[in-house]
Amino acid sequence: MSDLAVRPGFAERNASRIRQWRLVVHLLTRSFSSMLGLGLIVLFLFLAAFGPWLAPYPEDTMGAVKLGQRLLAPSWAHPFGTDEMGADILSRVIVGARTSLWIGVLITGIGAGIGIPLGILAGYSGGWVRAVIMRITDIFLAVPGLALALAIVAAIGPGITNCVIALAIVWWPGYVRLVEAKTLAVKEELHVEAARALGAKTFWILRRHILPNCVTPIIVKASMDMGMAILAAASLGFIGLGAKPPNPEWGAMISVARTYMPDWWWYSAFPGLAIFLTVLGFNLLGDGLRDILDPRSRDR
Amino acid sequence: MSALLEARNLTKVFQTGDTSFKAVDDVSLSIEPGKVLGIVGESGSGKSTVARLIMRLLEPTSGAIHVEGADLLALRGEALRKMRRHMQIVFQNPHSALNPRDTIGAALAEPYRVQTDLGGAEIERKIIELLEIVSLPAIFRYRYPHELSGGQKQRICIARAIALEPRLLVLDEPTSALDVSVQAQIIAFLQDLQKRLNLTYLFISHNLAVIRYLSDDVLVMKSGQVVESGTTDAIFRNPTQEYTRRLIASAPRTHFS
Amino acid sequence: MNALLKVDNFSLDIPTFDGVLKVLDRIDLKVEAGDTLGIVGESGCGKTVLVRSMMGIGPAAAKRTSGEITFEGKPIEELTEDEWRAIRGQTISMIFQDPMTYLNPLLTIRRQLGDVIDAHRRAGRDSSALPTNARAAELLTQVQIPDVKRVLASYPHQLSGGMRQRVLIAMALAGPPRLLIADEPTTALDVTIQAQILELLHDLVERLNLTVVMISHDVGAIAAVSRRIAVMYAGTVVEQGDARSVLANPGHPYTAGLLASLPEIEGPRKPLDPIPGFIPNLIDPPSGCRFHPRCPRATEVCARVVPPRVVLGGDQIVACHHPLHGEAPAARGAEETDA
Repeated sequence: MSDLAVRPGFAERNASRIRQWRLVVHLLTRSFSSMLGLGLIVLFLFLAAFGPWLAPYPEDTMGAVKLGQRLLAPSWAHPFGTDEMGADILSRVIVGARTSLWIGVLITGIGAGIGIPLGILAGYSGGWVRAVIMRITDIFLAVPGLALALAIVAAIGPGITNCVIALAIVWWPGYVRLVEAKTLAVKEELHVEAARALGAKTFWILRRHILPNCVTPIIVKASMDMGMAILAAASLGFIGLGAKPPNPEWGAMISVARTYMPDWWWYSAFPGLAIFLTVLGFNLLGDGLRDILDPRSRDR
Repeated sequence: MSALLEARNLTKVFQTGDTSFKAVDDVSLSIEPGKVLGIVGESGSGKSTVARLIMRLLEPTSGAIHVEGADLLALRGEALRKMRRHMQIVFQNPHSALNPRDTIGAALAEPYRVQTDLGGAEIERKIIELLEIVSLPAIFRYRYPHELSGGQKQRICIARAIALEPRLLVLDEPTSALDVSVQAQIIAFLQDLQKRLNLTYLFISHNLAVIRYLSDDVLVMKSGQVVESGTTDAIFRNPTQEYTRRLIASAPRTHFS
Repeated sequence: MNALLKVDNFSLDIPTFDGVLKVLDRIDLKVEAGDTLGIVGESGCGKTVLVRSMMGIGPAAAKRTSGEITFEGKPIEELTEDEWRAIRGQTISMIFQDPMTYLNPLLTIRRQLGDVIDAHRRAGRDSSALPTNARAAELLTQVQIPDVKRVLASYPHQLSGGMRQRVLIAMALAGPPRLLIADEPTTALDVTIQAQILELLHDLVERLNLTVVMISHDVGAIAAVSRRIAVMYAGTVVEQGDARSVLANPGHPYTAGLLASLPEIEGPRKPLDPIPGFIPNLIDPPSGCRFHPRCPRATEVCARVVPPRVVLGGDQIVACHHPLHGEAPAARGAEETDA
């Protein structure tokens, strides 16, 4: 009579979630571009995690002075060649992955951390609260991102931390827009009205009904943003306003490599390739996620 | 016998910019405890708006609502929240009425978590009880809404609505989105539930046959106003208004001999 | 015996992530010129997939596993996309459930109706000598639109739901078509408007001798327009025949159960007798008769063997091991099953 006696096992209790994950994996593996993106990102994360142990010349990562080995072309000993100080470029590119990762995570994380609550607040409150938030957002979005970042960095000074702060400030309005739009839609759903009819307080509704239903577009945007943020940070590094040498940040490396073009092409080519592949990976994965998370692809 | 629900001169005007739209125009109704009042009307008649006004999901522009003698519109904050325990609503679209991110169990736990201090184990017991009342297997508490059929979802919505043992249940077109055979199951179930738990229903529908089947009294609405009201027998056997007659004549006939 | 449209032992499977949906199982239907056939059934019965397959617009992933559909003797499988384009809209035309989404919101009715008429003329089908505008007005009058000039000049959003559906019907009749397929034409409309549209369809059928296939979950709507009815359940046709006869004397327990589920608007208030259980999952449908788990008359053979087609008087055909033979459904006991 009573199902209480035997609590269903893990597999039974989570049967729905397991099936959903199987569906995601199935759809992901069917798309070549998504798998390529996933592969690139896994490689990137791997390098970020284990970089210092993988680099063939770990002592070169923060800059070396081996003037006897300056600007050597790619060879077996130095697959990516060496830079103007004799440091192995491969090692620096590998370790640079870690720098790029935390830059991307911080910018996206802070941007989302500010933008999401503001977006939900704007969408749910309506009225003047929404008007104020959205107008401020509009102003920020009207200014070209990199120009704004430049202005901020010019004000607070160069360096990698300030670069992250500046870019986070550029990034948050995008999340506000996205989340506000989704909140407006979710707010009209009957389950929100049902919760109000139960007497649920506003915070409960925001936390359990609005936010979880905004997650899908946020995930897609965040994954694309990772790549874009890394690119933006590299751009700032390239103009000398981000990371400073001898920090092995890819953009900063290209900044120095500029003056050695075109004869010593490998110096800018390989860090450039690293940026390209990383951003490509995030873009492909983000695109793939959008297709997978689209509810229409779930049913069949 | 004082009425469980009494609404007088309810009016709701929606203002968008400089255009105003009167969705509900001077509607009055009352329901005795244990009875079923049916509101029938076509789209734009304002019947769903009346449901939301009664539940105070929308604030009336003017009018009064009394639930068990208490002035509903005068309540605020905590007192209003407490009052909500006594009146619940079931919506038309079961697909939208359940949070797609929550399991069925979480959806059924919500009334308890929002309104009571009950602990996890106690709530789990209640959830299993509710599932049994609506004849669904206990294992469903681990499922997600998209895995259930429309009829099953609607049963969950009904279960959620009766969780706090309300005295008044407002049903806004609860079977309109469902198949005929499922509709029949839900209607038979609602009728049985009403008798078992001694509930009072405010039942809203555009389907005359269903209204006739369930209701003790009927309100016919058109363009925000009450066109005719009376007992079910009176309305269906002797409609006095032209519109009511037209509504009844329009319903397609399904039974032949 | 020139059947306009013939569905012969037609079965359809649709592969999905969770398995193969056996969406249609050995469907046998015939539509002759001048016929009006109403297909009635609930969710998952396959009526929409069937009708779209008839038009060649079935689901892309669907696989025919048996039988065929022929239109005027030609199997539709063999039609090329060009041949289909010539047929759709002209020889076979379709009206859908939600008139708003099938009308272009940016063009006036005159433009949209005019485009349809011109397309027919270019294909050499419309023999009317009238200029386009006059022909458009003629079509709108045919669907009983009172203020033709105003409607022609209007945009879709300026018209009511019932008016839009009339416009769509007018567009569908422009051919004129040999076969009109109506997919839930009144479901999205209010009851009073629904009655008007059903009366219009009934009237057009009589006057123009149209051949119509109408699908709906609303038994009453079907009965108002169709002379013949086919009842579908879980991908099978359980009963077909003259509409009044079938509804007055159902031969199949499902038809009887469906009728017993409908509350009545006049006469004594009988208690509803819902069919217990749920519509089955088509990935693993019940063996034998797909209705047997819910049927009060089911016996052991029903679970094992697919029911034969039994002819009961006139042209009423029932797919059942134990047809009702027109008698009243057996009274069920007070025990509740899993409902």
